[in-house]
Amino acid sequence: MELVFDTLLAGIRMATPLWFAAMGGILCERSGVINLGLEGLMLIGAFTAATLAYFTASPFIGFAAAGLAGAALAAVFGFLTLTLRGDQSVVGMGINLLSVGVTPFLTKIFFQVTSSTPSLSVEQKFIMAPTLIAVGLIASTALWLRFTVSGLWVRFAGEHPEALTSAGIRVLRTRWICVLLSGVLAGWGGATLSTMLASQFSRQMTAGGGFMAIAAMILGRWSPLPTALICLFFGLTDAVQIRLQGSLSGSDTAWMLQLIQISPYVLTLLVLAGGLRASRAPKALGKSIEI
Amino acid sequence: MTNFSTEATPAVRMLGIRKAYGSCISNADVNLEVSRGTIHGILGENGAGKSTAMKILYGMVAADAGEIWIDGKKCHMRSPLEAKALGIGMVHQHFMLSEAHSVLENIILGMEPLYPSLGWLPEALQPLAMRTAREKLERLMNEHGLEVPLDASVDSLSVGTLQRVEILKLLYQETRILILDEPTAVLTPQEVDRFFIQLKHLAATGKTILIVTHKLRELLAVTDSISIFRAGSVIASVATSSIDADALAALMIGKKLDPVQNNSKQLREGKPLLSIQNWPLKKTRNPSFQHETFSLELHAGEILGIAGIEGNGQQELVELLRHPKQAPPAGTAARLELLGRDVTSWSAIQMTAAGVGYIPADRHKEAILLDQSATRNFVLGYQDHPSFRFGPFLRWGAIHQATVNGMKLFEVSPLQPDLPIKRFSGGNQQKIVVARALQHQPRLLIAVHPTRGVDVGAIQLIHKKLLELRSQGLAILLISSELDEILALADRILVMENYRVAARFTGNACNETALGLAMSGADSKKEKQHG
Amino acid sequence: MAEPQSSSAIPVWVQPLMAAFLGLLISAGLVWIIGENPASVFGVFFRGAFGTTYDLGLSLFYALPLACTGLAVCMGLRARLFNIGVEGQLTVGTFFAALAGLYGPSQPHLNRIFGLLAALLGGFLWAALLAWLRAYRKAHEVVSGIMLNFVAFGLTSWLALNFFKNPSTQNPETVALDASLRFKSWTFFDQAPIGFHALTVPVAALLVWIFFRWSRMGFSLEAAGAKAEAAEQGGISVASMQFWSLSLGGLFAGLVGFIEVYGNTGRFVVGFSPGYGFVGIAVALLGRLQPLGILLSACLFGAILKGSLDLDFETEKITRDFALILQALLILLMSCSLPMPSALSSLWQRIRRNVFGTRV
Repeated sequence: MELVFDTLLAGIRMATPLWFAAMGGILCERSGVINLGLEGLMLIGAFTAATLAYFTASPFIGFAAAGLAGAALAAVFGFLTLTLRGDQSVVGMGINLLSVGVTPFLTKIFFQVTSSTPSLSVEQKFIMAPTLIAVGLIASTALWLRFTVSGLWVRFAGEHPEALTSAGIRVLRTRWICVLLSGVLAGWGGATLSTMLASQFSRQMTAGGGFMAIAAMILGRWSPLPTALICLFFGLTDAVQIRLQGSLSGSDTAWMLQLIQISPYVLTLLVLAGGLRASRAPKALGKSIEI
Repeated sequence: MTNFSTEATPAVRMLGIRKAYGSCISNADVNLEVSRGTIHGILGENGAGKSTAMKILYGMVAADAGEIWIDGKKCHMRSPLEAKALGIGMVHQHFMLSEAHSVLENIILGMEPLYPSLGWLPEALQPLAMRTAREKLERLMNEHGLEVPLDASVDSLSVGTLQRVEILKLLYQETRILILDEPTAVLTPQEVDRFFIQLKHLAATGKTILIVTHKLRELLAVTDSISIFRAGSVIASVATSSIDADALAALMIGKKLDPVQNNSKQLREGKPLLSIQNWPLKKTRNPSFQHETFSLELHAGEILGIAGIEGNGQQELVELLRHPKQAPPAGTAARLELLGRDVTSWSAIQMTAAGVGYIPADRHKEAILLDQSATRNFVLGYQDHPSFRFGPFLRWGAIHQATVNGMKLFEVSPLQPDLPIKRFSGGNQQKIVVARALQHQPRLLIAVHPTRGVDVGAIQLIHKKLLELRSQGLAILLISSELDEILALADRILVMENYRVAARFTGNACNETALGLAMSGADSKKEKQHG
Repeated sequence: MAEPQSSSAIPVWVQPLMAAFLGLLISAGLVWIIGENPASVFGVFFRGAFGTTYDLGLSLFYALPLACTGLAVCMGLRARLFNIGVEGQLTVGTFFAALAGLYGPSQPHLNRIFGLLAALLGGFLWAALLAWLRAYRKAHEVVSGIMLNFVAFGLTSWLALNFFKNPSTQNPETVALDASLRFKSWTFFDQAPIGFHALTVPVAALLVWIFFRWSRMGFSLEAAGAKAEAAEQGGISVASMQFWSLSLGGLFAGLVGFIEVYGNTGRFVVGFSPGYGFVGIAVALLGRLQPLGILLSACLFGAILKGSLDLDFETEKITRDFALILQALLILLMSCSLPMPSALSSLWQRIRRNVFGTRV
């Protein structure tokens, strides 16, 4: 029983960064912007949080700074995609690569090594705070999109931007706000990785978390609650796998581990093959609009 | 009640409106006046400038010159928002509704209902007071007899319902002047009748309504007064009670001179080159609709003109001839034969190989690749032709030569086949498209709006070439909304209306009025209505 | 004239040069900010990449897979599809090549041909999966590409480690094939692993050039990307062109596997690719989707990779990761290549309108 409870708790903890990133992805895509740069935004957030937490001894300052760093990188993304109307997918991948390059570059400057930032002490780390924030965030994202004035605008920006324009609301501004917010959220997701799950920033520590969030978003049909549940499922898969790794290493069933690892992606592909994306994705996704 | 032009302050007044896009003048001099509480028709052919005028009135397009007066006040509208503030609203031909959202959400967008007690919050973060909106809408629905299911998702509703949603949206926004662009284009006759009753009710409650259309019967049935557009100007404004369909058709069509004329119109006999028999063109899911079927025969050396208002089955006819690839509907006597062979299972490539040339209706969308060179555009659709092909490769030398020949034949300038086609003028682009369809001596040419959006010089050249090839034995199916073009060129004329042949004429025994009446369905519909 | 993207009269090479120049400028700025001398850093780069024939050979060695992935991305982009699954395709291709080398015929030439075919097949099959999802299931090619990448990593490493693992080492790799099967390095480049296998890359570029310049399918593929409706009217099946543009791209991704196995390590090493597939995006964009341009930009990227290796030792604060920053900058600067001039001018017009209040 205790084992089950522990695994559940571990799963919730591991789902936390995905929750942040997936909510960021939902905001972005519901407003009509494909954000493949979530991975990069998380990475920069993870680095910023670990560094600031180390220097200020406060994980909360690191957390806040991670949001700002994510927003700053998202602003680059927004400028290239929204203002210059560059291809959203290409720019997103460029942002990822930029993050992968910039973070060790900065680590080297601050700490003279490229691999990781110094370990954080227990006081410099979070225990559960980001998880609580994330839960609140999921609820407020769901409520915001569904019940508020600007939530309505966001949904129309992704579905039928012309209708929004003719109603007198600026689509571009709506999308800008969503892109920046997704930067903040993905940054927080990264911060959770480096200051709650781990106790330092290390190279490419996101390890596909941003893409996992995108997968969860697709499986969750772009709505916050189902997406959060899928993230939780992914987190539990991870937790189970880590637990199994301890008990199975060397045994005959160890070969299953890698298969469990890819199961979220296989699941997403199966859903895509079922033709879900075409019918459920926001209609104006990826289409830049005339200014 | 047609107290036209007696009101002291008309609801809408447009004075000397002028708008040009580059050298193309869309509105030359538009003057019109609409009294409050009336329904006003805006009638005209495609390209007569009626849409532009309405977009100017709705603030979507800025006029180059002229004045707009709303309720006796001179207004400058720079955006639809400002027009909305003045109480002007527009229902676009393509509905501005998001399918993924509920009717209620679509209606409140742009004028979201708020809770007064939460006024201290920034507007964007305030919750939506859905109940307030719902109450207001239910009141409006009762008042005007416009029932719609507020919680249904838009993609589950019929177009007739969507039309009501759009109107209700304008009413919700307290619009006083409603502009409706082709509101009946997508409605069934039953829906149209219901819709008109609702419109009359709206007018009776003081709303002013402008309907843009080219359907004569509908205008006569519902409007109080009509403005007729021709060549960018309002050429007449009349009270509906004082005019009939004949006179309206004559006013709308006018008379333009085309120096290229088919002077040897004649009827061909014998075995037809192309034959369509009893084909049900209308695609309908509802079997209770009666299937109107379509038949035509086309002989070698003949130009058959298809006249008719767009959306009456022409597109389906072209699709049938371009990509037959469909078996004749089961249980019908439908047949499609080219040169005596059944071609119902053929692909576009096979049709081209069998000698069918094709000029698509929409040049930029369907005919050319704007960024690519004239040469590459010239081979598009003929990439499988034996003279252009060497195994899996293309013979660019031969293609280049053919392009140069085609461009020379049609006097395209500049004679630079490697230039991206977007650098040619519209007329020259179209000449290339026509030349492409005529290379390799086709037996049959399907020409859809072959001179749309083209300058006069190019029109004359294209017409001249079509007539030359006809006398050499080419069969031409000419589908056009330009009656002048059809009257000038066609040996025989079919009028399409509601997916069937409404009338057949021989080229010599035909005039605009007769065509216009048959096109608008003025007589047949009326009979059906009462029968 | 086979240029699908030129939207104005500006020659095709202007934007890549501008991007390269801006990229260098921005990175020089970064170097300067952290207190290093940009000139000496670029000096290290240059010496590292071209200092000796051995360095030159290694630069070329890095350029080879990048040229392949650049061609693979280019095949998709010519039909306006973003093949981001190249990374997974080359992983599968390499895995296939390593197995083919192990179990193929023992005669060296036959074995090599068998390995080449296996590598191409692996890349093609994995790409065909992506292509099928895009063309016939209408799934977004970018999302499914990313997912397929992860699945490819997972599957190949699972197979490699559980069934074909090299028992004599702790490294995650398959059993190596016989040294005699690998291509000998040319003496010109000292010991750099450049041999006859390197010739497959220019040949591949030539084939791509021929494909788009002369073949019917290349023409149809570009037409489908340029304007789907017009292509359909011209008798081209847009869905099948989408399928082929992605899946043929997989062939070039698979070629990376052949070069890796027969030209370099002789085995499948888990995680061997330092993101060749992703850098291929930058290579293709910088090469303006022209085969020759892709070869040249692959050489530039290869030189950047090789040059960056020495940064670790020769400078105090800058590491080899600097190459990633340069690559990312080039992707970002080329990403808005298509609308850049018009977008910039409309931005400028808006600024003028708002700031100076003039109507333009």
